[in-house]
Amino acid sequence: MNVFFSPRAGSIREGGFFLVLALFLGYFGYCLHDGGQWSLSPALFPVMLSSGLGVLSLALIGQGFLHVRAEEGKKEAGYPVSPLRTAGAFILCLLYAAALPMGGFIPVTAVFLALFTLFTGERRPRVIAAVSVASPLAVWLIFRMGLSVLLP
Amino acid sequence: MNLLSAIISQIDFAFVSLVFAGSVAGLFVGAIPGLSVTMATALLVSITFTWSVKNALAVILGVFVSGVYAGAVSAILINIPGAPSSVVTTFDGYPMARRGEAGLALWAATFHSFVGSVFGFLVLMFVAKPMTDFALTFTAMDYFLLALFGLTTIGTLTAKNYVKGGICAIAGLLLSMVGIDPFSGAVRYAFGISDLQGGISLIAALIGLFGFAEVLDQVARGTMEAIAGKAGRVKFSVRQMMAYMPLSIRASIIGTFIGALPGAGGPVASIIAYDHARKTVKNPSRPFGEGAIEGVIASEAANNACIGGALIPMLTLAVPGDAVTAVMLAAFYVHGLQPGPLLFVRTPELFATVLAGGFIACFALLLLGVTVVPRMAGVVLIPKKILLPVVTVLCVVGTYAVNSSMFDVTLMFIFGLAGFMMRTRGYPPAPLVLGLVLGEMMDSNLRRAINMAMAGDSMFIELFGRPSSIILSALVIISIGAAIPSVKARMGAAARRVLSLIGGK
Repeated sequence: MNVFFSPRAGSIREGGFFLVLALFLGYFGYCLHDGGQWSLSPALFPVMLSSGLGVLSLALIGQGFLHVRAEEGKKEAGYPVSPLRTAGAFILCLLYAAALPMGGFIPVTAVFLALFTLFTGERRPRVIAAVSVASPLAVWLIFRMGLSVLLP
Repeated sequence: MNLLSAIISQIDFAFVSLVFAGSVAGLFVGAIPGLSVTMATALLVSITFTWSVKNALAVILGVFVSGVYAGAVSAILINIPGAPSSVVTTFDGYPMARRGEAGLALWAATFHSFVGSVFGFLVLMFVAKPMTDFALTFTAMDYFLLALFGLTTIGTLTAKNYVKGGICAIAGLLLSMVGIDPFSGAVRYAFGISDLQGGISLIAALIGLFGFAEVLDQVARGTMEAIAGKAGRVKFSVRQMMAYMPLSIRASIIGTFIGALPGAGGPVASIIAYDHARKTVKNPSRPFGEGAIEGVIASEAANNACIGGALIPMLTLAVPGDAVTAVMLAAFYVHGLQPGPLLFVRTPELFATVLAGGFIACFALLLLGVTVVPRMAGVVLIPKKILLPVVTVLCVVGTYAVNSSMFDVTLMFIFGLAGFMMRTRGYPPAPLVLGLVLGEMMDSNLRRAINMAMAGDSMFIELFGRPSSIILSALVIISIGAAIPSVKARMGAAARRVLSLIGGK
């Protein structure tokens, strides 16, 4: 288990991912070639870039096998990343983006801010209420009224 | 002397007031993550098109100069660059803030942004024409090599592992290929999604990778305490800053020169200046990347010096040096004027107006940097559990404001998640953004260069035979080669490990 999730294995895994990506993009890049002169072809630069990505992917895989730079995977100590918190925050933001066109900027943003401040650990009801009411109104006043910026 | 008197003749109370009003607006636009100077300038063009050219230019220049500088404020205080040109400022500015030296970092950014801005406008004033003549000699291949140099430099600079930096740069270049090819009209990498035919929104990528990724990172790590508790008092010591003047001037020269080259702009200038500082400053206050004040100075002097530089080709050739000058170019056309060599013949007073507005904006920057910016540090005293949700809303609003597109907002969230994952695995986002910015320019110039070279006797000589191409190629090779010793050392260590395994140890 430890070996699979080691930084060294990470380099090999990531190198593999980028290699597949390079092949995928290289193939679709090559498909753009219209059969004419390569110097004029829209495929020229994408194919060059995909090749470059492929070479660097192989270098990354090589680093993994040779233990080169494996120590970099060790993240600085102190604050470990919580996948659950990340997923929670991301899903909340996606729901916010999905709800915006339906519910309008001020009400949806107010609900989102209340939920997000709760999620980040704020527990004082007055603070949550103040942030979720004042912030959308302030943003609306500054951007919509002041700068004539369209809001979602 | 005639020019000097022409500049002075432009200055009146209304003009100065408008420059200051623009500077205040620019300060907030630049400092608030998600708002860009380009967006503010574009909005101003629509607001000021009924005004006189002089007044419109006054406000726009105020926003431009202050906005570019203010990108450093959020870069230093919350590690979110207000503009692409402030990305490099985060490298040392934010570590300084975390050490309780936010005040010093802000003062250094203010003072040397002022130095860089004044230097840029002085160059614009005195050597606009010769500089433009020199930039005119650059071929398409030179522009390609210049962009490649910028990418290889940032690749070595931002990643501990050069391979990962290179992967990010190429990923950015590949992302820039998305959309309609301006040469052939072919749609590249859109995969049938109509929203992708216009290309990847740079603003969405920028806000996602630097803004929303930061939010996710802080939430994921649960670091909710305010960092400004360690901000410290601001001591405006001019003497302390004067000690860094040689570096500041060198960075300003780099910034002005890069700014004068169309398409390169602030991000490339600040990266090259930072790299220059890293290589030439023998005893930095701290190692670069860990809170070296020299890193903040080089980046800020260069990106503000770019303003004067970027105006050189815009005014004399009608070729914008960056996105903001492109919008300014549009402002000239809106007012019925045509920038270019004839601008100096037909409306010479406009050149004086630009210079007058620029110099006043420099002083407005310094004044606001001393009076308003230290108080802006209070924004990070807000606990992150309150600040982060509000920043998320600003990220959404800032992204939506550019194209009124919810697709861009979704894209911003995707870039944010990608940026967060990149951080946790040691992939720097800055080369990706630079690749995204420079991709189209590199693609078009490469194809143009190859096509022109094919008409000559020897394609290689045509591509790389010019003195400028030789110098730029050498710079690219040196930039890549600079990473080799460390690679060599590590490969040696790996080889020793392999040998020890073979030896049974």
